[in-house]
Amino acid sequence: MKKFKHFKLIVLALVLSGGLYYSDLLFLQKRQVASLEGTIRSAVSGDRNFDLTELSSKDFMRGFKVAMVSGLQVVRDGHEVGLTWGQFLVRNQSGAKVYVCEKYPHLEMTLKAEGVAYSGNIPTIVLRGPCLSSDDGQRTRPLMIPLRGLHRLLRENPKNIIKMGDRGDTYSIEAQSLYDEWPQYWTVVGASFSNDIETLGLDGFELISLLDQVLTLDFAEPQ
Amino acid sequence: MRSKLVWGLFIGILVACDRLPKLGPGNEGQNKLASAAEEDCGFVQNSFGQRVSWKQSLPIKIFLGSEFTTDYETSLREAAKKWEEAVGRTLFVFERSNQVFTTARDYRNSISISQTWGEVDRTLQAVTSLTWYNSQLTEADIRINAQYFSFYVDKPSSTNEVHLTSLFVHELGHILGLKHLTGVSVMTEILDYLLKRELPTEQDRAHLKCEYN
Repeated sequence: MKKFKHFKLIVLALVLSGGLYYSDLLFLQKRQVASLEGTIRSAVSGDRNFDLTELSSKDFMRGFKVAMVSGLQVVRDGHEVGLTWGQFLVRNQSGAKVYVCEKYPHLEMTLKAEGVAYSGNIPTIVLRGPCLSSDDGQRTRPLMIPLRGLHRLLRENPKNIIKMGDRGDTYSIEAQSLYDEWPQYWTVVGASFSNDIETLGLDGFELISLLDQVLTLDFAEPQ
Repeated sequence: MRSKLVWGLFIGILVACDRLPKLGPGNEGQNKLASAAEEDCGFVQNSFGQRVSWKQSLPIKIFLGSEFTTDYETSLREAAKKWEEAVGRTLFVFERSNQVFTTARDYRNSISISQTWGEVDRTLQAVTSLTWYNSQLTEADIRINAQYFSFYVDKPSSTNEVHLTSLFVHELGHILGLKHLTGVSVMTEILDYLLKRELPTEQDRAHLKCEYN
């Protein structure tokens, strides 16, 4: 009788562990996305002054990635969503210290649908636009992605040009491998600053290593 | 005994929680901080760079829609056999159904022959959708474009027909988790009219064995 009681307790322990694991399978994605957005919003505060101008080239190649990620913020405005990246100081051609957007005026971000592929291809979105500073210079201005009607827009015209802000800056959203279903979750797999000569960027694996989790955004289309 | 149970539960919870996969190493020469968790071996990879596959959840049970004719089913089973002979195990189990299936997520794998196909995708002979969680495939659906394409089994009756078994071999490859490849492979993206390309090549077999030993 005692052995049977112990057996029941062992089974209960296994069921509880398995239950925890499988309940996460069902809810992890939503919780993960929500908690990551919250973590990013709360982690970045106060003045940031990433002056990378005195770093060796080897340290700079890691340092700028850390600086980019430290300024990450998910910005939601109505039915639009965007990301800011951290700015940092570099030297321009004249040797003066400038924010990165001044030397590298192009910003590019790549996102891939999470957990879905069509004929071996994962739906991909590439955003290309100007690298503009936020008002306080600490971050880049976000390239806002309009979620309402986005699927239909990108299916009809895989490369869309969108006007941003009040200065008439434009940026493009380009999609590949999109089909009938709109993937709800999209993971950032790359971001870069560039000019005509050089590119400073990081890929999805580097992002994960710096954030310690996947940077996945909820792109559910508003009804 | 009670303390052992408590420890067991504690370890169980730790194991359940610690599920983030490990990334590959960085590369100082290329100024990379991290890399993909695994080599791709021709497979679709998740955000960590892990190959997505059915792991040990084999064989894959696939429902055939109500519109499946005998010809289609014969070609499909022939195609499945090609992959199973390549890897030396049963990979697929097919079950006929009276239902009409779509690619919408319903946690059932299916193959359907579509007589209505979106104009935007008219050049696609078929689409295979895959869904996964972590690196485990959870659903796969094939839709064949029977509106804009005609198919043949043994001998074509015109010059713009697609060999059905070759198409199924390719799409079943996607169901297994394989992506498009260049070179000599049944997974190259384009299947020309009339072309028979139904035997997995050395490259295909090697890729499959990478994941399904």
